Amino acid sequence: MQRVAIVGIGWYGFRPQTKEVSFREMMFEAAVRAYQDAGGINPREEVDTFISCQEDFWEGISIADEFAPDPIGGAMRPTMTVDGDGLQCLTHAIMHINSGLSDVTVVEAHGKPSDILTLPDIVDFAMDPLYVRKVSPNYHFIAGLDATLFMKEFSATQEDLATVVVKNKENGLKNPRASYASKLSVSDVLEKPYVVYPLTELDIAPYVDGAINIVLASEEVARRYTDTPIWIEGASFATDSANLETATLGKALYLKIAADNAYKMAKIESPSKEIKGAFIDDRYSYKELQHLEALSLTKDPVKALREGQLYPDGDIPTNPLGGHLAEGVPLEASGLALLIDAIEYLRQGKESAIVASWRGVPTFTGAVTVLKR
Amino acid sequence: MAWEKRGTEGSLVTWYDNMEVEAYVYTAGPVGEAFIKGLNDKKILGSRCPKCGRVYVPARMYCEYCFIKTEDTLVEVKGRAYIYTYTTVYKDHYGNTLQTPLHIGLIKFEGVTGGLLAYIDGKPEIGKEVEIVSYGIPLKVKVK
Ligand SMILES: [Zn+2]
Repeated sequence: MQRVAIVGIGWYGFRPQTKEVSFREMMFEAAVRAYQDAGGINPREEVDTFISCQEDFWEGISIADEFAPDPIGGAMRPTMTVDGDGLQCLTHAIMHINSGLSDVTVVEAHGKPSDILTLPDIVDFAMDPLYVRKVSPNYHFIAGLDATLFMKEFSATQEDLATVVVKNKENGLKNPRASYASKLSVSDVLEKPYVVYPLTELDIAPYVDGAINIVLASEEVARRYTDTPIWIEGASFATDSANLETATLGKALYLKIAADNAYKMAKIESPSKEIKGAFIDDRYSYKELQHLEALSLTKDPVKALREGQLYPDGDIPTNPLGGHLAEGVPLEASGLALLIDAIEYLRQGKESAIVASWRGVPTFTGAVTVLKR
Repeated sequence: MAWEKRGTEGSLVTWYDNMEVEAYVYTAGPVGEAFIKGLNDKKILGSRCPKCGRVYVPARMYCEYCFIKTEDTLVEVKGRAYIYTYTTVYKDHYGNTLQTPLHIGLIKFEGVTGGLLAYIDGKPEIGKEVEIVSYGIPLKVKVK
């Protein structure tokens, strides 16, 4: 694989509500910022292809892909949409560049959950209509099933989950995108009543409005746009069995498959030694620990947490900018939210990072990107 | 542009609409229908893959591993039913507290690929054997 660089990032929102803009204006604002960050690139002339990650039900518009090009400078230009998380989009962008189709590709994803008045019903709609949907009055129950088995298999306690919440919400205090950052104690979390066992309201990341735009370039042209390109060394995405009954619970097989592919591409043999920061989906507190194991960053994530290895100054800094627990979940922009955290981390001088996303309940799909400075 | 945005509630324009998409008919298909009829007869039916030998519950028409059609005759599952994992729902997803917390389990059967969701009566525990008290979607089971 030829190396692909990230040469510009832009974001807008990351607030519980963004009533001042429509979703298209939000995309426009993020795009303008990203193009400025990429040395003032002109998307009408210098960008070869555009990719938008979106899902009709989230937009409230059927055939929403018709709305993708114009807010990001892609009107009447090659634009495709991917029905998935933003990090999946990124992998498509790498394919565009590696195949020689493009030198510069833009990836966009956004979420405006504050516009969706019946969001939980939309999540229900993603479930198997015959055997799964309507069984539970709360869609988080699938995470509950997974978390209970995870806790049993990894001997994790309620305190361990609460510790992840406290760590990430505190890490978010230095992140301008972290609307839900705060200083809490473990007992603050434990005192909250369960929503679905073993998860309290604080173990579940809230939704947030946000748009993200990323400019990618081939190795030959990257330095035209920035002095500090961030290099993508490996990327992949995968889905476990898509049926709740046959998928793996307790462990994140989808992410293990994606990570093993990405490491192979990046020629990484010992992830725990070579990766200096983990930016991974933590939309449920236990998911951070489960995902760390799937990424082979540790065999025993609970022990790593208890020994302090997951803090910003530890051996495996995990979500040092707060992750979803501090930033919220901007729907299909979730993976890109973790990605821009990682890029900011690398721009500050760190050597390498891994980004790992999950598409949320009820999916068994995840994506991984390995980055180096 | 960003500089002209104002956050004054009341001066911001929103548009309410309702997409009425909740009415669908989902076809169970011949194997799904046979499986559901099996439940009506208090039977758990599985479909067997002739190549890898997996028995799927709920019964389905093809093996997702081998991508071939499963055997036409469904088999009755008689293996021990146990709690693979469980959760307890305390609030609905709009934040309302349920009058009675609801135990939901994923029930698996020995020798079978897959499983079925169930409401659990009794104290749920991973690995515990259960007795099926009502055959439906979901099942109702009692901890043994
Ligand atoms: Zn088979």
